[in-house]
Order: sequence, then structure tokens, then C-alpha cells
Amino acid sequence: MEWIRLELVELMRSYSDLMGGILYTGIFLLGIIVVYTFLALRGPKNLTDPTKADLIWLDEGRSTKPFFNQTYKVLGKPDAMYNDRGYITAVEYKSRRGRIHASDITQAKAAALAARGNGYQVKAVMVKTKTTQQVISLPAADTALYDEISDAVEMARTIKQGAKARSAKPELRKCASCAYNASCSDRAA
Amino acid sequence: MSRKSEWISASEVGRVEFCEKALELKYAGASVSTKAQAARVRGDQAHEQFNVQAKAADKRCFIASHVWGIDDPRTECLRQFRDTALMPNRSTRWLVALYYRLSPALVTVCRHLPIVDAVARWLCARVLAKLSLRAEVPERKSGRAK
Repeated sequence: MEWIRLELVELMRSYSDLMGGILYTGIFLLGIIVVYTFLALRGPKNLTDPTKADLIWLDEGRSTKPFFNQTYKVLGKPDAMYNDRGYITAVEYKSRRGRIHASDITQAKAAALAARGNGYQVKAVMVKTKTTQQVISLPAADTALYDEISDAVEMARTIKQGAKARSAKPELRKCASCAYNASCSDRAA
Repeated sequence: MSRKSEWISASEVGRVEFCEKALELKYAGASVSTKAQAARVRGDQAHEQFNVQAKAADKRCFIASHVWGIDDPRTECLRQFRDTALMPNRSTRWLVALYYRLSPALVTVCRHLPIVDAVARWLCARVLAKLSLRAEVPERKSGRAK
């Protein structure tokens, strides 16, 4: 009977070791969560200038692979992404001077949608030229974000598959900056 | 497998918004004007300048960047692992977020305590070795299939 008693004592000891291990691991993980939550929530978010936050992603040219959103078949990469305690802002930088065009915002939104496909929960886009900048909040749902740019995406897809453009939008300033103005029959004079 | 023509890039979406005709001409193979080519070169230079400014203010304290340098191919390998393996999964995304929170402090400790620095270097090398092994296995499998 002695050996049964010893076996039971051994079993109890290993059981208490196991429980102790689980308890210490649990306390350690809880500690990490508390520290993380504290760091994540402290201080106000700087929504006016997201570039003051932590840089989490940077497009460094051809060596940087784009993001792919498999659901909407949109690919792209913002110029940079900043994270202000969970509030991720994608930056679209335009090297020209002057105002921000609607096409810049659409491009930035498409790049943000692509980044969301790779897990970056982009909540705002910032379009920045040499002289001005604008921050635009994005809808939380990918579907709602896609809806905002769906016309342009579908049109681009149709043209890529060989269809003709519905109409040109000739404007003197636009046509002057267009890369294909020499070949365009609809260009503004 | 989706067809290549279904995929649309963000810049193409922007171009359509700018002028549909411009995208049509691009796909028709119209030549880019010399003025536009020059503007593109200037734009690339301005983007590089933007990157330099962004990097100067970069508060990311990747341990790998500390160990190997910010532009090292090994650091880039870990970044790709982050973007392709960790970020797409909700279950592993929090690990990245936690890493961003804790790594600045860890790098500071590494700079002051050589023993912690040595452990960090050893750990980074181990992680990289595991990743290299993971990348090699599918290659070997595909090599056999051929």
C-alpha cells in the first residue's frame, strides 16, 4: 500500500506544479495585457497631423511590395502609414504644389483599401502636396469604403479589359499635366 | 486563380478619376511625353526626399533594425514576414502591435546592457533561420514536383 500512497503524493505534486505553472503564465500574460492596454490608451490622439505618430510602414520604391485586397481585387501602396495608438493613417504624398484633387483622394482611398487587405486597419487617409494637406476619415467597413470608390474601380477595370472611355474630361490645366496629351484627340487646346 | 486584368492598382483608380481617356491611352500603348517623363523623374526625387524625412522622424525601434540596420536584407526579410504572415491574421496582428509598443524600451535596454543585446541578436538570428527554413521547404517541394 505504501507504493500507492507514494504514487498519489507524486501525482498530487506534479498536478500542483502544473497548476502553479498555468497560474504564473496567466499572471504573466495578464501583466502584458495590462501594460499594453495602458500604453495603447494613454494620451490623446493627434488627428490633425498624423505624421507626428509612429511610422509603421514606408514605401521605399520598387523593393517594397504592394498590398493586395483579394476581396475587391485592388492593389496598391500608400507612401507611408502612421499609427497613433491604433489609429492608422495612410499618407499619399504628391510632389507637386497646389491644391488636392478628387483623384488624389480616390487614389489614397484605393491604396488604403489595399492595405486593409493585408491587415492594416487604416482609419484615415492624408493627402499631402508640397503646400497643402488634408486628412479624410474612412468608414470602418471595407464595403462602405469600396462603395466610395467603386465607380472609379469598375471603370478602370472595364477600360483595362479593352472598353473605350465613356468620356474625356478636358481641362486646360489637367491636359497640360497629362502624360498622354500628345496622343489625345480630346485634349483642351 | 484570378485573372490579371481583374486587378486594379490604386494609381489606375486615381487616373480614371482624373481622366478616363488618359487610362485608355495608357492601355492603348500611347507614348509618354518627354515633359511627363521629366516630371516623373522629379516626382521620384521628391518621393525619395519624403522618405528621407519620414525615416529621420521614424520612431519605429525594430529590434532587427537595431541589430542589423534599417536597410539590411535580413531586416527586410522580417518585414516581409510581418506583412505576409502576421498582419493578415487577426490572431497574430496583436503580436505586431504589442511588438511596436515594447520594442522601443527593449532597444534602449539592448543599448545599455550588452548581455541583453547578445540575447536579442541570438533571438533575431534564430527567428531568421526559422524563416529561411520555412521558405526553403516549399522550394524543395516544388523542385521535386518538377
